[in-house]
Amino acid sequence: MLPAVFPLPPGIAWVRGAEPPTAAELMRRMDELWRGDASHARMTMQVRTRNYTRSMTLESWSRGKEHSLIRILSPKKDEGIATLKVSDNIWNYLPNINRVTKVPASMMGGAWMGSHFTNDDLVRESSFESDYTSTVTFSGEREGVRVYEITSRPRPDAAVVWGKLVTVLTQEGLLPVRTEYFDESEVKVRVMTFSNPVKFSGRLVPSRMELRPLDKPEEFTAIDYEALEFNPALPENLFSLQRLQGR
Amino acid sequence: MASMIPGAHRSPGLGSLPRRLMRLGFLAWRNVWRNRTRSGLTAAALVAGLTLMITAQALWEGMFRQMTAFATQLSIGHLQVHRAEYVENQDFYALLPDDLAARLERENPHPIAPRLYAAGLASRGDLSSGAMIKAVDPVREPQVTRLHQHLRQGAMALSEPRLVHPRGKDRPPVPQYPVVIGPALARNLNADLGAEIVLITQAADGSIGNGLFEVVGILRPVDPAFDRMGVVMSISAYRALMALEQGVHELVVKIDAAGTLNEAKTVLERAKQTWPGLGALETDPGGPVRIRTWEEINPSLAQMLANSAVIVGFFALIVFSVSSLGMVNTILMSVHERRREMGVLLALGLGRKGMVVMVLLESFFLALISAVVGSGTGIALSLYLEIQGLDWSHWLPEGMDFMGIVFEPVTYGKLLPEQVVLSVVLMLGITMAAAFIPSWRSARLQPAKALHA
Repeated sequence: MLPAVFPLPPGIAWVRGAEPPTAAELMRRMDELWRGDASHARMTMQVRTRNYTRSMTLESWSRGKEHSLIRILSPKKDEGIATLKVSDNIWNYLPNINRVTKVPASMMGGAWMGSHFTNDDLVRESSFESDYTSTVTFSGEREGVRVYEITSRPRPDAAVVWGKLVTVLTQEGLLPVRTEYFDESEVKVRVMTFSNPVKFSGRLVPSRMELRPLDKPEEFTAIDYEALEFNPALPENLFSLQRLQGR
Repeated sequence: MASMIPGAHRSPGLGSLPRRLMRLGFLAWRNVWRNRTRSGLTAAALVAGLTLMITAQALWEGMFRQMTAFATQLSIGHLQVHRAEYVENQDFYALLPDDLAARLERENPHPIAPRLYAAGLASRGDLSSGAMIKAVDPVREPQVTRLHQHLRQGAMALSEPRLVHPRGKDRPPVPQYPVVIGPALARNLNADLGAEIVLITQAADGSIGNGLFEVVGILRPVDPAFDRMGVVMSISAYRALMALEQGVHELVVKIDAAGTLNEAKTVLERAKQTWPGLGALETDPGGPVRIRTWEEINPSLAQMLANSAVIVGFFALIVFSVSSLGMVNTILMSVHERRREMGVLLALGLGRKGMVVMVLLESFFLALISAVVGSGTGIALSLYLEIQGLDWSHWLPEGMDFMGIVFEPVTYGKLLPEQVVLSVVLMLGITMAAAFIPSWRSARLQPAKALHA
């Protein structure tokens, strides 16, 4: 499941129970991760497509799943461009022309900031527990690591864009390894891999996320966390249009 | 009584064929006028049918010409050049180099208009909409298409940007380029002339293209998608927004009125082949360079025009068949009424064939009169349509769109002489065919019985 806000990849900070968890428990824990957590992070996003390779430095803040603010720190051309998400709405701020624009619903499938993530990825707050039914489809060793594989399918009335998700977590620490995304015809469309576990604010987190579209194998978008702080003190009005333009 | 049939007493076969026909014709002609009301009504049906067919064809011809002109002159042009990957997948990076464009232009009597396209977001205040950006060369485009005349408001003045200060007077200014937008987009963004809109795109280098633009014109309807999302700007504005320094997506070619599409295509293909960079260009992911006629680009319109001849023919068949029903009835009645008289003629030696010919000649003369009158009224009505046209603007002030082609609110007709000839011939043919069977019946009369009828 792609995090609704980048700073919190799934699977972090779980307490490993004595019993092997059931699929329902695993998914509930993944959901619970989101609620109430605030974060402040700095990261590098690298995008490679057939026609260009770009690297951006981003700073982000989030509160729960509803609020997020992401600002581009570099390169110079895009410095200061910011995206504010509040519930299902996304606004972009463009410092060169000092204007705020709203992203309409019709553009939600579009790429975010030229990457392989979509606006929809940013906005969607689907919860594993309420939107998907999950089962543990594999528990054992793969490539020398003991993992759980969970297959999740959307519930009939869930408003989600995927037909199926397959998540692989390490059994030790419940760190995400990989998430595979399938469309409604259960064709695999993209894969997110997680690597480089680093301890941030006392939690072990995969610091690298790599998203690869399967129809263009040489392309990818990778995010590397440089700094990540959990539950920082955030100003009350941080996630507002004024703050979007202000700084 | 013998004197009633001129020359009948002179020779057994009533004379040579032409003279016989003349005599029968004389009789037939008089017979037509014996019952003026009936002949008049029959002729009226035929006249109506013929007038309808001529006028309808003139109207259709006018419409098709309007559609073709609309398609080619407004936007598509006569021929277009693209890379294969642009045609198939709208690959943004499948570009035509600027010097290939120059090479092709040397071979063409008119300048060749380059174009660039991009998708983006147009925004004004808190209103936003998807945008289809179309960048044109402000000098060449008006020489190739008539887009600049298709404005509801404002003008296609796309060249120079203004400098504005969105970040305050103490910060460096930013260029604000002029744009012309589609009517539905103007409505959705609540944008009038002079309004500022923001465009955001994904630039060629992956960065976020963004800029300020001023609406200097609003288009009349072109096609539904463009009306809702179209933004026209100059190529320099595009290059600044999209970080794309060279190359174009499309070249639009207008040909000489004298030449044909295929001739022009051949000339351009040859010029393309002689361009030295072609080999290297076509090996890159953009694919080969494709030169297409407007019919290949918009096959639905071309097919519709080709099929229209069949449709018109079918329609004509029905119309003339219906209007010649009157003729059938008339002959049946007239033959029945004149049984006695025909009996006399047969008794006097007219011969069955002669009888049939006489009746057919009556039909023929009636049809001929109808043809003359019908062509007259048909031509008159068609000329009126050519000059005045049918004005729908009361009901559809902006015209309507059908199959991606917009119809102007006034439809003009176009009269073609060959259509008149064809209609007349068809009408005569069908009418005579209809007249044949009842005419035969007159030949089956038996003089003795007929005389006593």
